Amino acid sequence: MSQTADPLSPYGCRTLVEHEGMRVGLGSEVEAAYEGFEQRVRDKLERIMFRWCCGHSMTEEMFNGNEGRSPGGTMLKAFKSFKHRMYGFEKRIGGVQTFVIVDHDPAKKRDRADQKILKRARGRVDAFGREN
Amino acid sequence: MNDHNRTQRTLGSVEEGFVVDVQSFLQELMDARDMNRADLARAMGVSRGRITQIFSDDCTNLTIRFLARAVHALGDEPEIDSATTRRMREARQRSRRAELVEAADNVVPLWQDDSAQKDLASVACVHDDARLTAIMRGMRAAGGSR
Repeated sequence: MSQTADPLSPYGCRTLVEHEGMRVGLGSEVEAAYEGFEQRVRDKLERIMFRWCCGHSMTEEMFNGNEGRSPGGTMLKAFKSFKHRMYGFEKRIGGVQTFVIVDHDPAKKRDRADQKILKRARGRVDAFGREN
Repeated sequence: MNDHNRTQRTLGSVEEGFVVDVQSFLQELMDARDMNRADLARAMGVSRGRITQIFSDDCTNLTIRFLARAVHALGDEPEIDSATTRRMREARQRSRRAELVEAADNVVPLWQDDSAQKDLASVACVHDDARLTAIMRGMRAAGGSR
C-alpha cells in the first residue's frame, strides 16, 4: 500500500485490491480471520478480486452475486476460494465502486453456506449502511 | 494491498492467479457464446463432470491440450502471451516501421518536415511551440529514430 492514507480507513476497512476504478475493501471484523488464511487461499481470492475489478467474468466457484438480501434490502454477495466465502456488498465510496467485505465463512467441511453466518453477514451489511 | 499490476508477484500468487485467469477466461468465452457447462461438455465430447473438474479450486486435469480443445469448442483460437513477449513484439514493430520509413524515397518523418509540422499544429489546434515539440518527441520515440 502506498504512503497516502487508505480512503477506506474512515469506514473501518482497508483496501485489499484496487484496479480500473473498482476496489475491494476488507472490514475490520474480518481482518484477523483473513490474516490467518493459507497463502494460496489469499493468493486466489485476491486474483479473483482483481479480475472482478477489471470486469471479467466470474465462475460460480469464484463469486456469487446473490446471497440474499439484508433486512434493509441490500444484496449480499460473496467472493469464494477453497470453500472460504467472503461476504460483502457493493457501495460507492469516494466516487469508487467498492465491494466491502463484512463477514467470512470458512465452510471447511461442507459446500453449503452456514445460515447463522449468513444472517450475521446480512446484519453487518445494514449496520455498515447505518454507520456510514 | 496486493498489487496485481506488478510483474514480480510470488510464485504461489502467480500460480493461483493463472488458474483463476484461465477459468475466468473460459467463462468469458462461454458467456460470449451463451453456452453453459453442459453445452461445453457436449461440444467437446466429454462428461459434465470433466468440465466441473477444470473449474474446481484445484483445477484438476486441465492440460494444455485440453485447454486448446476447450477454446476451439468455444469457437476461438487460444493464444499465449506475456509482458516480455509483448515488449519484444512492440520493439520488432517499431524497428520494422523505422526500416520502412528509411527505405521509402518519398517519406520523411514528420519531425523532420517543417511544413507538415505546421499542418499538424493547425489540425491539432496546438499553438504552443513547447507542446508541439513534446508531440514531435513522442512521435519520434514511437516511430523509431532516424
